[in-house]
Amino acid sequence: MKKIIWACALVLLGLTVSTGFSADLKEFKFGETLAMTGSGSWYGITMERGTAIAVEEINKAGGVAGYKFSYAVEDHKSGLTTPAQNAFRKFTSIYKVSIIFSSFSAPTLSIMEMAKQKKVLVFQGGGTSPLMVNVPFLHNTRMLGDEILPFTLKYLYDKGCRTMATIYANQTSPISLNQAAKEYWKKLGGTVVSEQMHETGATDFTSEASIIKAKNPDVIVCPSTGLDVGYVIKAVRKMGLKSYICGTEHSGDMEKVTGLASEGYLFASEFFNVNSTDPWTKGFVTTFKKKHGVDPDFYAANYYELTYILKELVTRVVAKGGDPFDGSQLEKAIWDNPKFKSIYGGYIKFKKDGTCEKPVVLFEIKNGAPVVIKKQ
Amino acid sequence: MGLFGQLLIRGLITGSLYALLGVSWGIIYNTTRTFHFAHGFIFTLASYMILLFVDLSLPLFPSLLMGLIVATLAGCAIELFAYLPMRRKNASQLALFLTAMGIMIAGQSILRLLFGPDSRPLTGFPETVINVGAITFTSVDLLTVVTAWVVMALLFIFLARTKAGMMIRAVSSNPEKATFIGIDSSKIFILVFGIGSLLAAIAAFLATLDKPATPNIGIQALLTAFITVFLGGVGSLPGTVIGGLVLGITESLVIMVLPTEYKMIVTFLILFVVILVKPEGLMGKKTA
Repeated sequence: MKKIIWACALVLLGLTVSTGFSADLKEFKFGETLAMTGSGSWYGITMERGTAIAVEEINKAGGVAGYKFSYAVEDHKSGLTTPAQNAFRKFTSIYKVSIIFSSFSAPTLSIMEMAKQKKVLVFQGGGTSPLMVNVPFLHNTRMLGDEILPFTLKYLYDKGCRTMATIYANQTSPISLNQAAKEYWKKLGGTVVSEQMHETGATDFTSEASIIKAKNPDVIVCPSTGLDVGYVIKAVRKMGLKSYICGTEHSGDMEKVTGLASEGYLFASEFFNVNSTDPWTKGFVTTFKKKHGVDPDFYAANYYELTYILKELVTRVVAKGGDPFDGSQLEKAIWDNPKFKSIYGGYIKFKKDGTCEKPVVLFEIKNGAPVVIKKQ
Repeated sequence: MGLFGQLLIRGLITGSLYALLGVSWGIIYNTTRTFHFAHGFIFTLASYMILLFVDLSLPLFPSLLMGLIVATLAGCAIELFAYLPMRRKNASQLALFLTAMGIMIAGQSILRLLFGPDSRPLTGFPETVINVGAITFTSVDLLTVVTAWVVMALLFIFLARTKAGMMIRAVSSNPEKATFIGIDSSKIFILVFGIGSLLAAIAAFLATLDKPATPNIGIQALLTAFITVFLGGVGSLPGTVIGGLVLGITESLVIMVLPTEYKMIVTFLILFVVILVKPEGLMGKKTA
């Protein structure tokens, strides 16, 4: 009996202490619209893991300028606009958020008119559509496709490739990237021999691969997203095609689809080095690995980094006596100093057109893992 | 000719799987007239059960066997504990359909909760590329075609030559007369749910060898199954097989002339035209 009384007393003491701690800090809630289900669910899961670690670290360290971070996640089902818009309404009407972390191009673009009206700042660290430039209140923490795809194409052109086939999903980002890839390839002096738009979320591309095979291109460009890329690679290799395949995306989930077929797949991306000696990066990699049993990828890193950028913005606004629940004040605070410490090492610099500067490298899949083959 | 031949073979491979899926759903629908929406869940369940037993370190084929058993029992259980009691209470077709849809949605959600939303590939079967002249296919494609046709042939033999098969055909063509001559249709219903679920589980195994399982794979499989049945003709299993082949070959060949994004539109257009011109389907029988 005595033991039970002691246990109850300890629990009560714990509750008092924890309540006391949270009472000191006000809640600062932000929203995340991610792909939690559907063909791109892998992205949402890893992004949310990045955010979760950052929020936990920030709160454990005493919060931000009198605030404790919390966040709510809503699912845009791998690129659908209606769930993204519903999520926006929920975030702004129920949680009164001033900032949203979004992902994927189409869902992000679909909320931007409302974001402008309600002065909600939107950060996007997953999608790569060139259409996400010069959109008020939108800032990308990922290099956009038309900035990174030429890096891959130039590499392949220099290797002697001259003919290109494209296969891309009927979504905002892949459509605009396909256009950008074709224009750049022609500018280099190459020819486009086949172009095919596919249904998003399709899984059987063997017929499309047969058409591509008949044209026998040197390069196949697939700027689709999610598992679609994996299914395309698998179908192309299944049809015995030996052409180079490149795209703008890579994920662990994609590897599960392709298996060995992904060998040689090329994609350019920001370089997140899991073996970095930077103490901040090292700490993040260690925590992530401990929690999830795998190394973090650059998507997780992007959303981890984003949360720390938010921390800095809230600190700046509060230091000036402003209101961090006003998105326009957070937006303004970016320009106090557009350079933020980056988990990639060095700094991420925001540009006025909504894009950012980060070091980009070209990866090739070797033995099932991305290996850096060229630095910008 | 090379491209045409390649696409035709691809269509035959896909069409064989579609035919198997169609027959798996068709045998249930033809016999019980239940729009078994939960068939998609059985398909998904089979994939996940095979994967689960592989994860538990069982070799591929014993895992397949376990997956087939679980899926077959689950199919029978749905009939026994959901549809049968409802039919006994004279529930409408709409009520049965809504129940089936509920099972499908709940089942998928449970699988997502238990196994997560990630893709889960099935490994253990060697996938090699086979070239015959200008035609390329893989060992998994070959296994799919051979298995689908052997299984369908066995089913047709079972239906034609065994007493149970004849009873299924009797209930399927005239349930009242079948009852009159002493056939217990409720037992036959459970049997066809078992057979249909077993066939769906085999199709799920073949599909998962080619593409990883996700909690929503069953929806596409279900859609394919009932398009195949309505295209080939309700009440005619040979018609369903033809429907599957027509669907697979059309989907494959159509991209020679149209952009690939129109594949699904063409599929539904064909179904629409067939239903408009011949409402009973390609090989279905006219009902009075």
